[in-house]
Amino acid sequence: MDFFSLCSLQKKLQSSEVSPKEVFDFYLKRIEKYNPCLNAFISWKKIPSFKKKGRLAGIPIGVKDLFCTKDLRTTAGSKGLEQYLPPYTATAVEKLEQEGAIIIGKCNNDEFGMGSTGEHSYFGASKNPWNEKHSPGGSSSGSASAVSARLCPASLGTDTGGSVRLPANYCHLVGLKPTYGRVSRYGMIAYASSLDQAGIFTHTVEDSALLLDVMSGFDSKDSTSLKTKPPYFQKNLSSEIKNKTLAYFDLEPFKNEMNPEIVSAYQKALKLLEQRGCCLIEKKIPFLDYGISAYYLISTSEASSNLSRYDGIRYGKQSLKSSQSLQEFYSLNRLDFFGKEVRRRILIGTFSLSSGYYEDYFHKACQVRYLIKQAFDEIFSSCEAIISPVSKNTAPLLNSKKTEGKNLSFYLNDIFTVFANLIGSPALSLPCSFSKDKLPIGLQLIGPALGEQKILNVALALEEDLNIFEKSPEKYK
Amino acid sequence: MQAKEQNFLVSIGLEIHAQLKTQSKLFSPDRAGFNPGENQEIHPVSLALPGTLPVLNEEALKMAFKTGKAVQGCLKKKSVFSRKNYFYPDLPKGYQISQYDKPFCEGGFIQFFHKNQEISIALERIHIEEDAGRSLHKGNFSLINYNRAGTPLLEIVTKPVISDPYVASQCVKAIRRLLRYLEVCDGNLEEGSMRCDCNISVRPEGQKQLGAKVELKNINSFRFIEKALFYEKARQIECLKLGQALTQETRLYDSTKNQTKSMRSKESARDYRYFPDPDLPELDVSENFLNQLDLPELPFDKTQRFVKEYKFTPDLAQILVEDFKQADYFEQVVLQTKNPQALSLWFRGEIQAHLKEKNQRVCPIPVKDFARLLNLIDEGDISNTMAKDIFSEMWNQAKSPDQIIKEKNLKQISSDSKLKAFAQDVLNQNPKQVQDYKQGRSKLFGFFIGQVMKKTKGQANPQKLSHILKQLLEDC
Repeated sequence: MDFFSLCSLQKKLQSSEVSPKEVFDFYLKRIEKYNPCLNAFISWKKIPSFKKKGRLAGIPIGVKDLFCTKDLRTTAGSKGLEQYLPPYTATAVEKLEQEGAIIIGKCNNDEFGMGSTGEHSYFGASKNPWNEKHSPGGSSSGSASAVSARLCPASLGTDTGGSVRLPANYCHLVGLKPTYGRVSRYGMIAYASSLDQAGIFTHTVEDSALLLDVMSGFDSKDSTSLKTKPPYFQKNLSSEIKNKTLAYFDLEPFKNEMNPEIVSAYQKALKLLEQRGCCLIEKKIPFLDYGISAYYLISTSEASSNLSRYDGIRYGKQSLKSSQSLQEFYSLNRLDFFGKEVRRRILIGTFSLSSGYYEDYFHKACQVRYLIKQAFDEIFSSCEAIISPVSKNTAPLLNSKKTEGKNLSFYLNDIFTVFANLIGSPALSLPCSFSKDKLPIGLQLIGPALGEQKILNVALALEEDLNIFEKSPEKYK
Repeated sequence: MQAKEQNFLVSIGLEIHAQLKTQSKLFSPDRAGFNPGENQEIHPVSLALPGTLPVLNEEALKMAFKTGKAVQGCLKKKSVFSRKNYFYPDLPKGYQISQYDKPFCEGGFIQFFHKNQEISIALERIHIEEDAGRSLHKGNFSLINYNRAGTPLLEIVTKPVISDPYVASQCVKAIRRLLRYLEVCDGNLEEGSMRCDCNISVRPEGQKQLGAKVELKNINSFRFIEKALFYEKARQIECLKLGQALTQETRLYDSTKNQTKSMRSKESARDYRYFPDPDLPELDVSENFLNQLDLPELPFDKTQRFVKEYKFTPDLAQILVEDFKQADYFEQVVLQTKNPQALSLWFRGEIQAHLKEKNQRVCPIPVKDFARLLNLIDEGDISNTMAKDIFSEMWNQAKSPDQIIKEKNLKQISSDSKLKAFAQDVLNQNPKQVQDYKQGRSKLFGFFIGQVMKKTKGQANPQKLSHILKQLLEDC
């Protein structure tokens, strides 16, 4: 089958050049062939039901296993929810289905979205199609791996601190995290409510804009969803960015820890934008030393409360061991339910909210978050978007023994991505280059709140100028 | 003993939980209120299924703010929902959405009468929160019913300014009366649609700082509020007299034993790890919303008006206004009669008895019929005893009093000549008794009355008859 992007597939379906069944069978075959190696999907559909109408009619889409789906089990990558079948479908997924999309399967992820390598999934790590010894990134590991290896033309992820942008960066994809509240969170299993946002993996910027069009909009079931009517992102796409002012981050503070290939790819991209007639201004990352701490305190605090519902009483796994007290009942159930990283984060969050520590930890983190938001507002008052790297290094090697005990360094790896979540801004990661060992290198664009169009347009210009988006991993062409 | 007790000061504060009578739950679209069966038709949000999110019920918000306005509290345009985190099987999310440091209403007061004295109890705050499910413990297993989970609750907290357990129970009654007037809560303590926790502390006279606060739970009637507080007051005073230190704790009231029992101490108190709920934006109500909160005439105002307009004592007025629909009925009837005092007796007597027996809320007799009945008594056409029978008949059969009087031929005989004739007959037929009466057996007067009543089938106007008989006997 000869197509690359979701939009080109859409055209072929609309002109009846291919039938929805042919498309589905094509991807199903690929999943059955490649998934045993990549472990990108936890569950998938064998018999779809096709809906003829809609902008996405007949297009198979993979969905991170944090989105509830009525007809497919939804595990959140957790042992406790291994057999959980939700009675309802998440709003974001429902919107895709209303436009005729076929949810082909549920993608692997770090348990409850907690991790940046995919290794914290109860169902095992997914692999990076560009090099299976490497991680595709996390927490939306399977979603990135699947689109990158063409097991589906697009997928949904969730992004709490970079869980869409980081894997997109490691897998040579466009990964978009919209403005907080742009896409409904209803039915998206919560990690940290004030930071979580649904995200999109695609091969092209236009695909991303199309899916954003479909998924955006107010949802009365989510009190934090935005009432602002979304514009037509796809229709308004334009690579005409002449005279736009863009800010870029000074990488001086990272000079000893950053992969120089990433730095030079970053500089190359900046040059391209300059050639396009953009005005580039340098900015320092505000509150650089506090961003990660604020992020991890807020996310773990919220998580400690969000995950309290998993007691094994109403649904999910209940420990078979008998308990002598209510406290023991909870301990046994939850010990059996959650993996180590989730338990670690629940403990950190519980501590940060505890009386006597609240003021120094959670509350302080919220104050820092407020200051960061102000500082970014200040930056956005003089520019359209901010350009930054996505990570300090290319995709890490998969090796749980090596990563064990190095949590802090993994947490610190999120330094470029957490800010967008803390301030609720839209952000996007796009393919930019490759390292000598043929691992993808991406680039990040951060926009002001509701400024998706701005970053999509800059990304479109870069897509045209870089001309490398169509590259696929050899084995999965 | 009495003298010594006066050396201690008692401070009682109340925490009332009132279930709001909304159609749906506080954050979920499923039905609130009593659901038959167990775990029926519960929405995924109420069960805290993965991925579900809360959406605030505007009806609950309106009810809450109406209550805040009625107690003249300071209504906050901005308030915050926080999570109160604790694990319990009937708490589906593992946290309760409540309000913590920024409730929607602060201050205000509850006004009522007690022993004809006007009393005003200052409120600390009112906040909105959700109810948990119900646990049923059976031997070595427990059952959970989630029907109630997510039902909206108002928590009304008074300042610890009450010293008399009777006033405490009256205050709870006044709160219930107010909530019923506003039609926001059923106020049923036994069924738990209204629940009351009492805080009580005792300190020696002269000490400024309050004593150790003891929270009493599990009190489900007004009588138990008084009994539990009296027990606890005595227990604490006894402790202090014996030189024992009191500690902050929560105690359960056992109504069968009339005792309180320690449940948990301050040291084992839970750390609820409150923090603002990130799923709910700060609550921000508009000026327009606040302006549209319409209040009915409130019970305390109605009580004062009844005192003024009908010359009742405050205690009587407060009883008459207990239910606003009954109070409305009262006022409609009183408009067509001239005797509020007599009407008040009917309200407290026959009407209450019938309402209770038939389990009805308002007297079903049309206002004009009931007024007519009262006027017939006033005019001497029927006796009170007759009226009671007619009243029962009216309640059950929806007939006018005149119809019933006609059908049963109940009208009172008040004409002097007719009564005289009946009386003379009786005297003529019982010469021996007349002779005995004359010789001093005055008890026989009742006998003559009875005989006339028998002849007239009870229709003789008793006052007039008695007067006429006395005269006839004197003239004999």
